[in-house]
Amino acid sequence: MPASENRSRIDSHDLSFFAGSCVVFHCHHFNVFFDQTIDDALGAERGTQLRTDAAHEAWYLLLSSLCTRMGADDPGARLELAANVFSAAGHGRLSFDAAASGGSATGETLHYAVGWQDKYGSRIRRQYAIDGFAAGFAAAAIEVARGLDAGALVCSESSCVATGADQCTFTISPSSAPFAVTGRGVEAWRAVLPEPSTGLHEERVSAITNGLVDFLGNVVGDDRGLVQAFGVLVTNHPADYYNHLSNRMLDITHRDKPQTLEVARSLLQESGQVCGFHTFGGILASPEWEALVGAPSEPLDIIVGGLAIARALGFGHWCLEEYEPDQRLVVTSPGTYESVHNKVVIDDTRWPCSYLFQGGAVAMMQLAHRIVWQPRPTFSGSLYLKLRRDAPWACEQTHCFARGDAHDRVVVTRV
Amino acid sequence: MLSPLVVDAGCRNRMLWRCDLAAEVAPDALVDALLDVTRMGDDTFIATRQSVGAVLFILEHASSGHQLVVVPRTRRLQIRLDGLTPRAERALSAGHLYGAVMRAAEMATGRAEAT
Repeated sequence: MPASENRSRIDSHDLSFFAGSCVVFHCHHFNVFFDQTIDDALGAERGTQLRTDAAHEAWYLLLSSLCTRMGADDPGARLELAANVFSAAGHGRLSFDAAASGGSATGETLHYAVGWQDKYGSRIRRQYAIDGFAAGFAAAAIEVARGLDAGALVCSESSCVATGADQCTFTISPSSAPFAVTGRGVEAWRAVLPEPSTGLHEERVSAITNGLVDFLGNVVGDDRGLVQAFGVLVTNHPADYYNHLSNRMLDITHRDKPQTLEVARSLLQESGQVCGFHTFGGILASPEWEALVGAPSEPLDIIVGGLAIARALGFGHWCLEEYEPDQRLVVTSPGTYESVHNKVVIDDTRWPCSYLFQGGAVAMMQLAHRIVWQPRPTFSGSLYLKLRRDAPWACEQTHCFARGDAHDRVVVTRV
Repeated sequence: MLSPLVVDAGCRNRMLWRCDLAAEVAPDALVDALLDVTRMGDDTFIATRQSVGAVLFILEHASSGHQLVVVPRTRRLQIRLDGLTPRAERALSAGHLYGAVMRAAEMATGRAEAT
């Protein structure tokens, strides 16, 4: 999101907000894997619909608040503002030809299409459109611009670069399925937050976090709406997108295919592991890290660095409770972007819900003890799969803020 | 002037390339040369907002959008190709930038003339 007076941060809990909505940085590895997890669980058609709906709802809340704050009151100004936010946040560029009754949109260098092509495009030909996130955004942007209720429009992707089309195109139509926006803004989040906490090596983690937060403040989309930092494609997403998806996918799975529920939950955790491996790893090996912090020279540097990265990206105030090299890692957080959302919106979740937190903690142990850092590491997909298969770690979320515990807590142990 | 160009650590196929600056080249002088259009011509770089004082320079190759990251303290250079560079062109693009950086390094030590 663009730097502006609409950006805020609760430093004590390392949660970031834009126009009142919680936002988080993620990279294309996580984004593509996470969306694929939803589709794997529900099938392509239903998964795409769920992804579109989640983006629609998350963006409707954010854009409504943004337009009010900015005093944008005519449709043209609102739509321009929305498109600029989308590209500044690294999602690509969208242009619209739409009225209150619908129309069309065209996407260029959309994050998911570009990210999927980069990650899988040389090996697999994708069979269906990927940009549910952009479709949901497009519907929300037109609704907010035209002063319509949430759900007055529906949008679907008609052609997609990821399937070999020349460009991504979207069709926007009237809908008779209005929905209530369930997400809540920063004040609702602030009202439920638990007491802040600290962990081992707190001073070091905090210092690195502060430097990274400053650095990320200068990371914005280029002319094509792409954000490239630390060697990956970066986005700033409304956290509600991920949270709606996780919760709804698990609800559907629990209802329709309960025998697959644990697989679905483990895949959500693995999304977090993918994020930690690629994003944390890429940042730790980057020249930026070398310049600002110093190249990691021992496993504790990786653990401390991982905690700081998670905080700076807006995942929560990850704290080190216990660390036994190559054996055991215990991390706590006074809420995460997943558990605080669920506390606000659902109040009592059925399962410990901080999947990114779980997977990220596993990735920190992988990076600290299974990666050769000198002379230089690699973070290929094949290495990720090899480590996952040959050197697994067990992870249990023992405490979950959304379920009434004082904080979130995960324990990672060697298998 | 520069160590040989090699693929750097990263999670994207041949997008990041690395070389190291020889002790005889001052990093500040290298950056000055790269930013000087009268010396670099079509291979001029521009500074980005992500640079951090004299600690970290992140420069952008004006005509291609590729980036060069310079860490003065460790003398590490990273060529970071633009995110949409086709796979088949990545090695060639990195090689071109490496040549431009080598030329700037020679200028920085007074061993080469401007283009």
